[in-house]
Amino acid sequence: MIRPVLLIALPLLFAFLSPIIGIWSKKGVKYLMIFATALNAILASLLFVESLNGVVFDIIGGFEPPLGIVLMVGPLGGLIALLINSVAFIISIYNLTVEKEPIVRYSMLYMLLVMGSTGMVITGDLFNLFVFLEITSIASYGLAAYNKDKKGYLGAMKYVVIGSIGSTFVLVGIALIYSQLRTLNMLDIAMRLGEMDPLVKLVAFISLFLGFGVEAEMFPLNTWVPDAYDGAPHPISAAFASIPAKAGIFALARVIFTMFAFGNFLWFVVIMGILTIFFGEIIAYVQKDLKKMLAYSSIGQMGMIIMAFGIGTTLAMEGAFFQMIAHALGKALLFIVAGYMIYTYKTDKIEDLKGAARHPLVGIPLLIGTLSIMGMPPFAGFYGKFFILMSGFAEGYYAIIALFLAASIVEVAYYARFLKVVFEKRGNIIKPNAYTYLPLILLAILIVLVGIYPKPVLDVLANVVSFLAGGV
Amino acid sequence: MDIMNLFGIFILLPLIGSLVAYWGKKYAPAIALIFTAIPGIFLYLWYGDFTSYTINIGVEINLTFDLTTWFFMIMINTIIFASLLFSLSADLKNAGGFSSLMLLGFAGANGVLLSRDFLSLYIFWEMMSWSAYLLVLRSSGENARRYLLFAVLSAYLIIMGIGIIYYYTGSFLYSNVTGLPQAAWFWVLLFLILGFAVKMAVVPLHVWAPYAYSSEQPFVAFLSGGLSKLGTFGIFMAMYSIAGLSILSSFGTFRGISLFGYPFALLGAITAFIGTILAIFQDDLRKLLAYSSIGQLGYVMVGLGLGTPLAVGGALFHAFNHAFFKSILFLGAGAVIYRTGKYKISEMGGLGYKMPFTFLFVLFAIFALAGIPITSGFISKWMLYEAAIEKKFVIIAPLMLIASVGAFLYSFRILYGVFLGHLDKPNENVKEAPAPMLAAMALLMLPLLIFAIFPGWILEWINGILVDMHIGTIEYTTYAYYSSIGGADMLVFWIAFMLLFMVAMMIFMMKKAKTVDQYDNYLAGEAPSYVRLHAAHNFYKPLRDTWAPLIKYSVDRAYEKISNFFIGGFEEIKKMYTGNPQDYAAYLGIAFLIFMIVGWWLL
Repeated sequence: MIRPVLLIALPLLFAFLSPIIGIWSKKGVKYLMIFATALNAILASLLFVESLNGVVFDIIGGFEPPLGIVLMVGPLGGLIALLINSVAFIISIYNLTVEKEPIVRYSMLYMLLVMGSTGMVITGDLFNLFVFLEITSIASYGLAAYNKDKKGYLGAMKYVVIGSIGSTFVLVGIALIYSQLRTLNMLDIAMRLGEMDPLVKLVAFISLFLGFGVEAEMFPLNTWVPDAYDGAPHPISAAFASIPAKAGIFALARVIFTMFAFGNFLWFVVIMGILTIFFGEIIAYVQKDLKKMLAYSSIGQMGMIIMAFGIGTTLAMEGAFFQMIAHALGKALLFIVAGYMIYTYKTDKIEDLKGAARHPLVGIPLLIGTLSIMGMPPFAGFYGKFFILMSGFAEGYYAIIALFLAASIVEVAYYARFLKVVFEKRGNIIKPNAYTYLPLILLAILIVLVGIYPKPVLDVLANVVSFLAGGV
Repeated sequence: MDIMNLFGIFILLPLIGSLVAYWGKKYAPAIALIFTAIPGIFLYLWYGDFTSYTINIGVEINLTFDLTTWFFMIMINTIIFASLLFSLSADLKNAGGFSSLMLLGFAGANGVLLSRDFLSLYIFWEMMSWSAYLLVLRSSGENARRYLLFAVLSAYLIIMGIGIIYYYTGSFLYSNVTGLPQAAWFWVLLFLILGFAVKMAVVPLHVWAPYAYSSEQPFVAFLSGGLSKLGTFGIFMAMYSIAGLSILSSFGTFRGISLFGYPFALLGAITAFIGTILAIFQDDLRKLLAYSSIGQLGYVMVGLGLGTPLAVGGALFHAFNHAFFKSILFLGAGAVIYRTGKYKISEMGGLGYKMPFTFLFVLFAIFALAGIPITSGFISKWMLYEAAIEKKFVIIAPLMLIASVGAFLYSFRILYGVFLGHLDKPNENVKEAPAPMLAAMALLMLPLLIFAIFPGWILEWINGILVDMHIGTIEYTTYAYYSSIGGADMLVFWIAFMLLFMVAMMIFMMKKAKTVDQYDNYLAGEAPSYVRLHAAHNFYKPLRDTWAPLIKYSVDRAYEKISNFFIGGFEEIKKMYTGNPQDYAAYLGIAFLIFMIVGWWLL
């Protein structure tokens, strides 16, 4: 029996432990980071197994819900928590390559980021969700500016502006709900939603939707994404795409399905999703910077998930969750590869990276990651994309799907252009160090494993039925 | 045989092979060879043992081993076996990766052929596409990019068709595709046929082919000979298994031909014509063969579009022949390129004296390609002509005939430019191709020769397929086939050929040839140290001048224009992300307003 609160408490403990260890050994802090995330990943997997038997509730401080704060972990929440924590662990290996000081603050913020994102996924209380959102955002702002160069500051600045407006929206939404229902417990809200004034309900819904849309990279709230990703240190770009973004989109899913069941609003979510895909992919095509291209591509991928939420059938939601997994793994991999290339060849322009992936330890994971992101079988990315497509067809969204496929061709086009450059012939091929290729290989193995044997994941995803019905 | 055996031998085994072969270093092609030989043996053992399995893995999927599958499998299996045999001595860089990817493509191809449901079809189709992409990527990133774009276009067109079917039936099985409205059938067939036509490189979806076919020769032989047949298979299945003749003719008929199939037949004839014309003017040996491949598959498309038993039979037969003769040609070109290191026809010449066996095999393949009666290429082409003439199609039949004349022209360019004429000085030390290469080509030559003498043997299979698909039957005996306007009896042809050959031989023997030193008349007595005497440069210039007004239109450039147009638009859209946080904050506000309006309206 694992208490979900440990997933939050332990990283917090380690985060505040790291300055103390930092006095004694700078290197020790990095290993502490790996230890903390590994521990969290193990706890998350235990919790996940537990949650398969039924929703795990954890009542904090002895106050019974709906008055007290409660953590609740359903199978899907457990899956996403596991995903976030295992990717966080893999990225923390890559963190060992970070050389810039102050490493102590870096590791603190990183652990806070992981903790906040995990909290967003496992909490059952709306205000608690807001608190975790703030922790995640503020940790992200700090990490985005960590490089202390112009790019980093500008990116972080934009992130701060958009992110804080988004947080305000969330707060407004919460305040509106509280003013009407006098409760902050999600399940309680869902139960008593009918008591709300329809107009207030609408404003509350839209505020929450937009607020979490910022973190979930929804169009047009994703303007911070390219700059923040581009300016951040390489491991953090990888973390951004796979940790807070997934937490944000899971929160969005909860807002849409667990709390408000706005059936007639869903087609508008589909439109927002397709717009997100379209703008993401199209702008990614004209990017010349590697990390910006990946950032815009990340927007496109998140758009697919949002679109699947809008389609809103069981199949679509399975696709959405599968896509979250595939994107977290694939994009983390690609950002690590990008980090290796930019670090090794001292340039972030795609055209200057000729032959940068010639070393098989980089090249093969890169190919696996790219093919997975493109949605090729038998990699993890295939299932998400295929399910979303098929659910769209089953609902009769032909035109939307055609647009989606057109955007996907654009996506393939820029990835193919990128691969073309990085696999050109080159004289000196630089071997990546172990801290770079270990996470790459781990991620690649996960992508292939999930791809060729998706049954366990699909079994878990069968729980979307209850999720869609307003469960956890 | 049960489903696990079927899956295990034809899909799992090559996949395991690809894992093993990756670590094989220079023995990798040999290891891969074993993993292609075993499915080949089972193809032989399991002939006639045709079964179909439906299993439920969350969705129902179906793997079927029937005559159609067997027919295409034997083609692809032989081609990949020969290609790997060839690559034994081709000194490829990173042979492990090459063999591994070839086997992946092979597994994907087998999967496509076995699957009778759209889910597994799509999975294996994509697997085959990306492994081919990685193989192209080995030699050129730019070519690979073009290939991948079209491969993905093909997959997405197919998935549009699948999606529409899924909307109406909620199932992926071919056998459940019933009760679609007419309009849905139209879109389904259109999407599926166009999607598969990309693999067959039908104009105007052919622009990837000349680039992709410029990769390593053993792979190209497999791509052009083997994998492009999956397009043929897909179109065949879409039109005659999933839809069937009755659905096709419900679109209206024209002289007994479905109005839906006719435009594709016409497109096929145009493809044959354009591919051939473009092939004539290529100086790069690989590009010439690529355009020739496009043209030849155009013939197949004609047959599939027309849909009479004779036409479809001819199409299948021609696809079979094309698999073999085009593989020989690509491998022959590969042998020449391997020995000389050159791609341009104008830089070769006279190699027939140095590489006689290669020359022999290529010559034979060219006979088959041009449809000269002593090869099986003649019969399949003749069937297709007759199918068009039978129905009095005055555009399709002449286009095909012109294309056939064109095929002679480019065949002659290969023969003369590469193998005949004067040996160029830099090529004087060229040796005959290594034994595995020759063995590969010899292996591929056998079916062309056997089915030229006994066309009945292959027509038995083809007839079986046609009966399976309820298309009709063809009349045939061991040596001949018959149609309403004639047919072809190979016994007569062979006797006539032998007689004519003897007459020609006698004339040739009677005439005393005089050997002239090459310097005695060309150079007016002067004796420079080195001069190029091979006149393959600017070959067919007069012809090209004649065609110049037409050749200046290019589908390639049209695609480039479209893509530039889109990129321009993308740049405009990019301006939305100004980089100014104030604008971004404003977007948030606007989004809130729009959401409110929409939400209020929906309330």
